[in-house]
Amino acid sequence: MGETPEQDDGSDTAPVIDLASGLLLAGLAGLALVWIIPANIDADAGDYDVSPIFMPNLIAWVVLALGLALAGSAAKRARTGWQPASRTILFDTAGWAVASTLAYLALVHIGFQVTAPIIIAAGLWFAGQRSLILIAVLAIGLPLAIRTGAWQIFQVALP
Amino acid sequence: MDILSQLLVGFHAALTPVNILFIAFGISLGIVIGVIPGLGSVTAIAVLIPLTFYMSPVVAIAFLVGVNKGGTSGGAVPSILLNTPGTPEAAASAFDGYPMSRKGQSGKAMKYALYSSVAGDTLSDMLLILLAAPFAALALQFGPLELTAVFFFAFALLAGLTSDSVIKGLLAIFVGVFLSTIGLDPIDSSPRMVFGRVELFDGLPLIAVAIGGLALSSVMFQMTELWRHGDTHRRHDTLAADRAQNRLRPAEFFDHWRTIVRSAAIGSGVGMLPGLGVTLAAFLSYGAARRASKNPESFGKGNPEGIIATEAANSAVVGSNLIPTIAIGIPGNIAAALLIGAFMIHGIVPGPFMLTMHGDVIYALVASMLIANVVHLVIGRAGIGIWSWVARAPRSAVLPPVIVMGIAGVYLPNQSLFEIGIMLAFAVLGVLMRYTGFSIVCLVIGFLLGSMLEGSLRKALLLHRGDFSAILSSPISMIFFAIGLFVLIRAFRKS
Repeated sequence: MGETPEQDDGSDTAPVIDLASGLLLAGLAGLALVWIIPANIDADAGDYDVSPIFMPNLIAWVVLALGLALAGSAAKRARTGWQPASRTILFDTAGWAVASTLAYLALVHIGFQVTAPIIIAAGLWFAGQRSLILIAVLAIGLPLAIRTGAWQIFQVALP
Repeated sequence: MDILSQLLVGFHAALTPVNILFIAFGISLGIVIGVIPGLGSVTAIAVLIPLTFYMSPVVAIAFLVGVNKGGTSGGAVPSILLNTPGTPEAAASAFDGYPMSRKGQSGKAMKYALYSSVAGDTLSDMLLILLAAPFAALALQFGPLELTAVFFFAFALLAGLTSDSVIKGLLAIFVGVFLSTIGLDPIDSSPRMVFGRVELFDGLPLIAVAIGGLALSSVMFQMTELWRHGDTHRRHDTLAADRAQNRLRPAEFFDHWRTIVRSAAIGSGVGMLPGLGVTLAAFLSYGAARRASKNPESFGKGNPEGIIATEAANSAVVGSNLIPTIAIGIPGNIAAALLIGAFMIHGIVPGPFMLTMHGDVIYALVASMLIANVVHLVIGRAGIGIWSWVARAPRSAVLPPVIVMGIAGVYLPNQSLFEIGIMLAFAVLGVLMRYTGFSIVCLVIGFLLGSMLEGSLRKALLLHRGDFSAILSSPISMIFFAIGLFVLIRAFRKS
């Protein structure tokens, strides 16, 4: 597919990761079947239709079965050779989750014009860019250009 | 009206200054993004879809198709100059492009890449014109049961071919389908899993899911790599100065017509099947060119046929992947899936009725694609020096601004901060999926096709009163179910 090189890059798929993913997905599907779907969808079908609950239920059952199958096959693989999972998965995902939450809260409370330069400057520094001039130009210039473009072309005021 | 007269009407609608301007803009933007290693046409289309809200359907889709065309061919520039493919589908161009560069023929190699790309693209667009209408006419014979079988076949192919583990591929697809059920029920409009949030009544926003899952997660993943390992791409200055050495006469290019036609055929064939992808087309074509060559040992040492085979094939996918999109509403690849999203945003429901209900738009789009090939040739040729310069931009300076562009892009259409939150959540989910080996592409396609699958499955159940043996009454559905099962069993055995 026309994706970037890292698009489907599962860099670490030790059995323990598949086991955890399978169990997590099966657990979430179970939760959906037991609570989320019954509590949030009216199961009554119209006279001429299948119930609105049908499709979510069907898919949740499929995910539950596939999740257990994944966990089962991973457990089988783990028995032949146990590989510890890399901690970077949790560390990186948690890091990006925290950064995304902070960015979202900053957008809600202090707006685009302050948050965007911080995101760009922090992102450039994090990615290894050390040219202060480039960082300053991009962090100040790009959000200003986007804000001006959004207003002048689309008449939309960014938050 | 026959195809030719409809195409003429399409040309009449497409040959407007605004349309041509946006095609040119899309191609230029696509090439620039394709040239920068790490970005690609998928990221570009995902981030740019929101901008098309304000355009007419023809201009919007033509612009995005231009981005896709430019992005696909742009990847060859860093392959040739820096031995660093801008996109995975251009990886094989480096095998012969970079050795040509080192001999001082980088300009000639880039011309070979551009001309092959345009030739492959044009041949596949012609195939699209010839095949879309007959395929759509055939698909009109499909009832809900047959469509459900086609979805099953497409999902089996996707899971079996795009993911290392078929179970993980299927899981990603079905999680996507499950997420598509959030919102109002398509038939009786009762709310499903909206948790009292009015913003969820229309379901999860496609643009936020696509930009977050495909574009931002890729950017975050790459930024983490840069932070951990630094920019490891090799950068050698290989720009040639000798003009005579870099001249490419038309006759010299067309001497390779067999490779062009063979590669375009391989690319078109691969593009028509869901899930097979551009990269596979490029490598299959490279292998075929090498096998057919009288001097196979010259491949990898600067044989232009290696570049021609790769670029003609990967560009041929762009046109042909719209054949299943237009005929049955199933995308040939992720770029086509995003185009389906763009079609839906502009009120055009993909599938066999597209040609009967929106024939004017579709033929204007096809005409725009043919016009885009000419524009691509002109812009690509004129800008060779510029693309070479852009290829040297460091990834560390290019990736972070994409996050801010994504935020602005998602906010523009509905001015909703909630959608930005959804986008960021899917970006983090995408990072996690990349690490754990789940295909985010499968999830997005499952999400996109989920509502169509639900519609056809529910209609099929109603029509046949829940009788699953009805599958046996339809030869078409039996064929698609059987092939799907075969693909799944084969993939299970392999993995």
